[in-house]
Amino acid sequence: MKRAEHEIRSNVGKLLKQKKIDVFIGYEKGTLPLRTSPCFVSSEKEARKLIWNSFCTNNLAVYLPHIMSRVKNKRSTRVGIICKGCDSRSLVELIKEKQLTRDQIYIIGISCSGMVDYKRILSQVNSDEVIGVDETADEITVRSKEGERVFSKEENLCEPCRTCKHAVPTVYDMLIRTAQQPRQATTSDSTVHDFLMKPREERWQILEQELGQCIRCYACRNACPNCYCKECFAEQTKPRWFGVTTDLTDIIFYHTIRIFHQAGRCVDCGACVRACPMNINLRLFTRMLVDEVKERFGYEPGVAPEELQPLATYSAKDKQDFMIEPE
Amino acid sequence: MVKRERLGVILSESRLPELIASLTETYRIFGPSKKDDGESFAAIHKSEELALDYGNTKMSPKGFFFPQTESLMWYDSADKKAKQDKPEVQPTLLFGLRPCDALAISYLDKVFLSNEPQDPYYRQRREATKIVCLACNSPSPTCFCTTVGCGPDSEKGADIMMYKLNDRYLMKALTPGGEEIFTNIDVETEPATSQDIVEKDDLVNKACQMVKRFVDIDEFKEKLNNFQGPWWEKLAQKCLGCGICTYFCPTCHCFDVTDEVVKQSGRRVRTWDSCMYPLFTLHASGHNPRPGIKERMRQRIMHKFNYAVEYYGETFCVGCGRCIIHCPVNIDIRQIIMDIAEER
Amino acid sequence: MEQSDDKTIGQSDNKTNPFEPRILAFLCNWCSYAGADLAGVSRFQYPTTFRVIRVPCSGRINPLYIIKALQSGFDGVLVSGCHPGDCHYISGNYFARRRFALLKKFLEYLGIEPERVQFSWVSAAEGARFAKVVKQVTDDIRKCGPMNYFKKNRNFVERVL
Repeated sequence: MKRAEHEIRSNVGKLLKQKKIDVFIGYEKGTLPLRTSPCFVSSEKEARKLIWNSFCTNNLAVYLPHIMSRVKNKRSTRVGIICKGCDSRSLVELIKEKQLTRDQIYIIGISCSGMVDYKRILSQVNSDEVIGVDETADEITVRSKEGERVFSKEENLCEPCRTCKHAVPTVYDMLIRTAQQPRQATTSDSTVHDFLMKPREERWQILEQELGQCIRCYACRNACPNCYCKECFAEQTKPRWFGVTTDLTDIIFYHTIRIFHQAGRCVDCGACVRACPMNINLRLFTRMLVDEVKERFGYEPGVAPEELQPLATYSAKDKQDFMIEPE
Repeated sequence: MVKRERLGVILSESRLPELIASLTETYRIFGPSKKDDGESFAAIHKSEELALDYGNTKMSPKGFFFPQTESLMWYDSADKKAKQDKPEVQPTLLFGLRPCDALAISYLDKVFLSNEPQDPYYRQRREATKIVCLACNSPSPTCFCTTVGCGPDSEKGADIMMYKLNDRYLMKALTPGGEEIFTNIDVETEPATSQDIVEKDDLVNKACQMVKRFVDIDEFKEKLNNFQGPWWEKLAQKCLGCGICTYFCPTCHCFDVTDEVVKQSGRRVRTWDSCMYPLFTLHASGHNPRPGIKERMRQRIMHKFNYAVEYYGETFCVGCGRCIIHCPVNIDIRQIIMDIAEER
Repeated sequence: MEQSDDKTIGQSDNKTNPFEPRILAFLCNWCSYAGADLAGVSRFQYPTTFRVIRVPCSGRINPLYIIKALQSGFDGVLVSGCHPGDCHYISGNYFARRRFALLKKFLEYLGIEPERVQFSWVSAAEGARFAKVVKQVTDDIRKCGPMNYFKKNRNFVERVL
């Protein structure tokens, strides 16, 4: 970890000094234990505050569409960014959707060994008393007033990291390897399968329970790199598609449509889940579309830059088993 | 009935169940209760449901008086008349509230009740509710109440103040409302002695020391008079523009009113709104005077630390730290205050 | 998309016919709408459970409209367009087909009865087929019963915290 951090700092410093990039998006130390915070670095000196550890969970690709729509000189502006596997997949999708071009960004890829879910660890210690955190290759040591506690990374991984198949970035200009092996998931995700085993009524009940906690802060949308619409359907007023209340029906409306908008684009980075302050398991629903797109169209978002998005193309031979054929 | 004592009364912890049982006869009680992900306010029927050794609840209690979704009035084409929705009002007790949240409620009172016209929906709920505050003995690392004029024993907004002293509670009625609660309870107490007060002061002092005063807030407020300050752009860079900070804030009180039509009936609803949303300031023409996150974030900070001081004479931040805990990109309002205060 | 005060639709008028669903149909201008027209002109009998919205192409259907219809109180939605290869805009229905395939699976996954949202191809010459589709969809949705669990309703309970 320390070596990777050092490499990031020196490389970013060099890039900024040589004016190869104008700004670099990375992570800095958070103000709370087990947290990191995205940061924007524009000078060699500032590059020293960049860090790398197992809590660098935010998907930084989320900032790029906004930055690109704001910069005056699109040709000459170049943004550097640090990418885990999932972030790079998001970037590939953004490039496909023409939100940015490949030459506008300089990607420092980092082979990821899985991110640790800080909420999961905090729920096991008294979060008020944490003093410090240390990290080794497989373990997280949390120092608190009560003493030290060691957590295995493997057991406290973020949910999507457990079954991540592309931990090494799919695009990059420079790849930094950490001391650990990049994560190679051997098991496939069973979230969808398990949920489908339940009877239909129970599924709807679970949906109501999960989404019933929603406070409509829109953090899931704003943390998602795919949600860059200048005007979100949730905020359209002519017409207003659904109410702004916390009635279950409005909440479910919002989430179903937002999630469906990710069909064929969702890279399963889990940014929405991590951003949710109410800890709603949104991935239970987003993951279904990831699996279905893979199965039906053989498409994996963010993996092959030249491949067309499944809903932006078609084949005359697509299955239509779901359509009704009256006898 | 608990007699009035100059220094307050002492209730042994073992009598807490009696106290709650006695209170439930007169009031609906809401208090902190343990849930899967931290504490939140819930209806309390027995003292076992209470979790009084908590840091602070996840959501602030502002929703009791100002619910996120509230029906104001409705009509049905069948009877061709609009009807006002009346909030269900029963004598209610918020038990074990933290001082910062009680202070925040006193600020909300200023917003909704200090000027004519008063907000009738808020008023009805507020008037039926009394607040029993529990002083903090062990503030969280995210607390910064002392910096913004609150404190672990701040009494403003509370009807009764409670202090936990080892295995006893020191209780003090601060308002006529608090006296009224005392007349309604039937539990054995003893008058507090000056020894108890010394013990209490000691605990409060300790708590105060745990909450670090990290910055000169006046210097920060002075800087805010510069609306065009150069710092906003940088501070807003990492903000995602979600509404977590405003929805979790105990003093944020902006709302939106919309009309909903459902077939032949309809209603007017009030919902929370957030200055972090683009729709908050969007004009009908399509122009948005606060087009970006920078402008919206500036509004949030300015409203709390500048405009509110001007309108109500108070800083609309009580230092509860909820926005710090829940921000998905770890934007820390303390850091913002420091960064601006130290900007030359 | 609010419904009219039409007593013939969705009212339980007698005990022998306890539930008549309300169904919203999105029909493409070039094929299915003409097919529905033909069914009418040809005097084919079919249930009067439908309200039709004419759209330029099945590719014009935003999944949002379908959810919106369910929230507005319809018990089911039918989307119908030109047969593959016959699209007036060449490929609109192909794109729609991909979208609908995912949507249908997705709604089923969430716990909505799969019969409530249906898709079909009906050409301008297939009046009889349209009548059959309507009948089948109506039967399916009648079996599901009224869709109450997603309807916007004035009496939704206010959530206090």
